[in-house]
Amino acid sequence: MKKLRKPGTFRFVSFVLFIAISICPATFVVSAIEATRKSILHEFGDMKWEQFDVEDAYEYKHLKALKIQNDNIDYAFSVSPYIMYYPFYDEDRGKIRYHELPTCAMSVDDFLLGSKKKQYLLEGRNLTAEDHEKRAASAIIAADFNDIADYKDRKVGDKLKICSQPKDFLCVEHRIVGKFKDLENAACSVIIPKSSVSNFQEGSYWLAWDEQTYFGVKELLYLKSTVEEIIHYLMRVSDDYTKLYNVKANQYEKMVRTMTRLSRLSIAVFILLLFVVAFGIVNFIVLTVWERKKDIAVALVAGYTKEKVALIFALRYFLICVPGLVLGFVLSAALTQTALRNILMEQFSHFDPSYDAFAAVSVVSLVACFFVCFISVWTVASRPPAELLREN
Amino acid sequence: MVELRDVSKVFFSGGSLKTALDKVNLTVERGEFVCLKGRSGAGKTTLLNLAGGLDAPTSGSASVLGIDARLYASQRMAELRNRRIGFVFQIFHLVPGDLFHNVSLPLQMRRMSRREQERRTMEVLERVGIEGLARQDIRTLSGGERQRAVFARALVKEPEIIFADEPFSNLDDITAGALIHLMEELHSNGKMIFLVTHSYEDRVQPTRTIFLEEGHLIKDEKTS
Repeated sequence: MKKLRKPGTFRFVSFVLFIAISICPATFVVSAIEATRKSILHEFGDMKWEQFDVEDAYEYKHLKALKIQNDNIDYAFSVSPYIMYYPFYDEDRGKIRYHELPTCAMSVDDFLLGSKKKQYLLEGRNLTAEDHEKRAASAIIAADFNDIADYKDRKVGDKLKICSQPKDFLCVEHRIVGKFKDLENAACSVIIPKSSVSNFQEGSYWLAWDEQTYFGVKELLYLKSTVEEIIHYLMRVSDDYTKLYNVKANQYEKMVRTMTRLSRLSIAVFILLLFVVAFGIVNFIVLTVWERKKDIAVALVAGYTKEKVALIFALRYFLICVPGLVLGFVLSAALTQTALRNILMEQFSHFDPSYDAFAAVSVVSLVACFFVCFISVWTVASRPPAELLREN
Repeated sequence: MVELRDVSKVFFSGGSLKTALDKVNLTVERGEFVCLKGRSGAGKTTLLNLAGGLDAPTSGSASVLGIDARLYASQRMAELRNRRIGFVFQIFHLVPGDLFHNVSLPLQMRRMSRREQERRTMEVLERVGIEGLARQDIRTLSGGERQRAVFARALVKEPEIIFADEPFSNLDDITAGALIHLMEELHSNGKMIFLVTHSYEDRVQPTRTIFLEEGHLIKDEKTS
């Protein structure tokens, strides 16, 4: 192989850089959009969303909600007066931080309970206290609790029994907190995400509450420490994480759809860029082979077969492509792990870059490079050596 | 050994067809020393290329050592060029690298140990008198040294036939004389020599001289 002319250093370096610089941004764009899409999906789960009409719902006349189906359980997800906070351990910053959710989740049946008012009014009666209690309790617990605790005979401060847990959360406390409207004893729950249990620290609660609608701060005294902590974090409205979760529930679907479209578009752009790169590489190889007709002819005159000459050239360009692709990969990975990671981790708790596309592209590029070179040289070497020498 | 039957070669040049050879018939046997003569553009180099299996005729048939010239890209022809035919070009056609690298090029295709390759390469370099330049870059060699290198690259194959196209042009008397002597020595050892030359014609002693004019073989005479 060393017996044929090697490309000059400048040409070699420029070829390597050409491949690297071409591949790097193309791959980065795809991995950035794909990683963003994955982060969003990871945060919100793989759920089906549909518009959920609650215009007739009691106390929610002006609200819209989305129904989410997850593991065959229907949840209502609405932009509501409730505010939820759930903590997570921010490894980068080494502290517990809180997400603010301007939403409230509760089971659909309980959510719809409010709409019974209309039915009741038609029937000439109002919602009973029991209806209110049931609704309030389930709403605060904010999940598919079968356990609507019997707290009529309890006193403020009593802990309530928890019979079942929501799938992804852990209800650590459920207490009677005091009077609310018609309710003598209303309850409040402290819930933490199961995923945060390992990092769980004292006071790191996800508390579902609402002082305006159901419970005033005074009624939450029995959860004093938690409430204080929440109020403390409420004051810190500058928390970056609130930005993400201020997304309205009914915008989520649009967001995911947009990201999916962007992801598809980026793949299309990526394929287009690959063609540009491929044409560049083919052009480079064909021109180089064309310039080296004399070397090919001399090799043929010396007794090399056309297959042998083509193989020597193809292997050489294959080996030249390797550092270009590796460099492109390193640059792309570095960009992904620095710039992209920083951007996404400011908004999401999950970062999962994908290099599958790059690996596939690298392999295809190398194989294509090998064959393009092989075929180019083979084509030239199939011509009469005298003709090649004459043209040189 | 070399046989051309009604061989014509037409080139497309400058927007029109040009006939370089027109129905040439020629048979050259083992041990002959053939000198091709004629003006520039008479078709000498074309005939040499066809006879050596480096080109294919437009019509007619040409064969060298029993292999049709149209099979110029075949495995058999490659093997023939690697082992039994040597070429000496007027404009050298050397590849970048040192002298040793250029001369040993044909041996790379053979299943031969590096030591054997080195032995044979150095032997042939010694024979043409440039063994001391073996590791010198080809670009630093003079015209005469490069022509000797081209001879060495042909001789390292130990070929049965040597095709040489204007090997003495632009050479000084001493170098040309040495190479002419080398060709005569090869001929006396039974090699077939196919030579195209304008220079030092009076000093070359071929066994047969062929005259070409505008693609036609006009005279074929035995000279000794």
